[in-house]
Amino acid sequence: MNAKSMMFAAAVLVLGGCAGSPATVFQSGTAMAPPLDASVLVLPADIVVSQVSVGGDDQPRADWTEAATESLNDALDEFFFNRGVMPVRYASDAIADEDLDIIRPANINLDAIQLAQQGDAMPGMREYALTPELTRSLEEYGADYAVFVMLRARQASAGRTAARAIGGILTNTISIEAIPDAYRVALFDLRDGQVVWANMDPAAYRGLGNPGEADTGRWLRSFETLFRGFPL
Amino acid sequence: MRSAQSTPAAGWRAAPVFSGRAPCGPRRMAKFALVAGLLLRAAAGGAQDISGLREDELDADEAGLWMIAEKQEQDIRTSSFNVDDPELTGHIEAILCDLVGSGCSWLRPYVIRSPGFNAFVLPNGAFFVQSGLLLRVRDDSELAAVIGHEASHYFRRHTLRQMRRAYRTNDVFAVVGAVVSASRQAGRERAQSIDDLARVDGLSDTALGMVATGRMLAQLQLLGFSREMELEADLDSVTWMSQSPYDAAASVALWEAEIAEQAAGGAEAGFSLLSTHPAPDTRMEELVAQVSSLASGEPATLGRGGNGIAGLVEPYREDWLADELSALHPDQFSHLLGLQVERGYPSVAAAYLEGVSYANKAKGGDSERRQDYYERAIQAFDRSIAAGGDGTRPEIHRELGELHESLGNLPEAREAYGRYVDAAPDAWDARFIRRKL
Repeated sequence: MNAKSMMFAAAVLVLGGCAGSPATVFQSGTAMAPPLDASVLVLPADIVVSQVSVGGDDQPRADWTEAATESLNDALDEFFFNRGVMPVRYASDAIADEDLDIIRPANINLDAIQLAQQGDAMPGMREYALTPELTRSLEEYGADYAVFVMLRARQASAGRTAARAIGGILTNTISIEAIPDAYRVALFDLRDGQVVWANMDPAAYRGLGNPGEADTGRWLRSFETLFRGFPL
Repeated sequence: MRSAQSTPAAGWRAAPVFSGRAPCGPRRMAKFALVAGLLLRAAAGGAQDISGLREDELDADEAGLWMIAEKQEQDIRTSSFNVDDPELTGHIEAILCDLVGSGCSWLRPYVIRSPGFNAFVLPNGAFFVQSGLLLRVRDDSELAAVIGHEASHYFRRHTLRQMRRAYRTNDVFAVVGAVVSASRQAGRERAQSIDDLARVDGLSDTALGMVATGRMLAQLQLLGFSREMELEADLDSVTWMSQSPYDAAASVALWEAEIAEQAAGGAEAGFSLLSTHPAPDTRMEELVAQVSSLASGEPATLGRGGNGIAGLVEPYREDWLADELSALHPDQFSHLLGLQVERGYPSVAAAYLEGVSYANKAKGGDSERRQDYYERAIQAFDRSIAAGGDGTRPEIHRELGELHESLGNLPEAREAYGRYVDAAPDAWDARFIRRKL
């Protein structure tokens, strides 16, 4: 490699670093230390799994969504158990009308964090939180934290996969199509309502396959990326 | 559906169906054939079967549609737009049950606070009536016409049918497009000269152009299908109304009113290939045909239903009109206010709102017509003052002062401001106005 090439490579590295993808993990700079024997309330997950038709239309699938919600909750139980954190199940897996009072602000917090991260805001310099009223409404569960997962997944139908595979063979191209619209998680400290930690990394979805058919093992593998930097 | 405004309720009866018009052209014949076909079908089997589906009876795609609909229903139900008034929703439910009997148990009516003449039903049976619609309907029969129309969309599963058609269309064109692209790639690889490459590219460009054109035509056909479903829903509604205590002719009156309101706002009621709904005039012609046919030419003998809706809307009228004020062109809003006055809304308040509407429009731009809007606002406020006498809201004088000041009519502005500070000496801005004087 001559000097010119080395300088070019260095420039690419430097510029690449500048224009890198935004951080997906949020860590609060003002979080309280976790208590010993922490417990986590698992809020109802906000999940929609759709099937992508041959023509590229999203067809929501109720059966996959229901199965994904169940298996995700089982996997979360196991994930927390493995870390020595006590999981506390919410009253219901399904989102009832009154639960929207919590789900909406949880999603709004995640939206705000994601926007700030994409805008390259300084990590940990801002605080995001549930209102004191909402935090108090969750006191009855006696948990220290609450975790919230949101997933919008798109799974290619067999026809779409086949069409793309044939197209790939004919055109010598490889296409990967298993990117969710969103795969996000947030941990709220129920002592002060603050978002302690959050991650919104679609890469965690890779390897999960169809969430409606994923077993606990596959979910746990996706958690390795999704729960990166998890503070408990 | 869209909005309504009043014209003589029985005006449609003056013109016999398909008479007094130009000789039957192909378009007219086609329309006649469509209506005749729908009517024959209705005569043979009545309107659509009125049974819904349980959740466990749904196919995968329909279950997915329901899941999303349930989320939307929940979002609206728990939002501040939901008007939580059991008496009002109970009244809508009662009309629904009059129309479709026990089938009404499949539908869940909601009233949502939203301007505009509209109602919609979700595939899972959640049924939403916008406040703008309730402001416009004259009586229960007109409301029944809309309710029947939306109920038909539900029972005929129109959303699902439309969705499946769209999916199928997109699937076909995706496959054809992929084959053409792949053929192009394969052809390019086999090409042995620049001429071969050019020929392959030319052929595949032509083929891709044909696919794109075909796709566009298919989309237009889908819109046509959507319009057909609207007519189907109209027919069901008219049929159910003719078998219940409501006047089927109200559906025609409703459309007359809608066309009148749109015209007042300067909107054209023409046909567009890109419309999901039939053009209002086409729709009204077909409704006239349906009503006349079902009523054996004597629709006047049909009942008119009650007018319970008017009383139930009364407590909300002021707020809902304020919503319309911000959504409508002042000319259209003025037309709507005229309707409200006919229904007993105080003319003092109507003139005030009209003035505010024109004043807002004048302040908000449209410099060409600004002068005109200012003058119309002044006229409306003057009318409100004349009708209100001593009970006039003091703010009207301040608004008038601002309007005159904007137009450079300083003596009038001074006079209006003076009346304001006399009427409201302790108002928060009275000191400021005095200083201005």
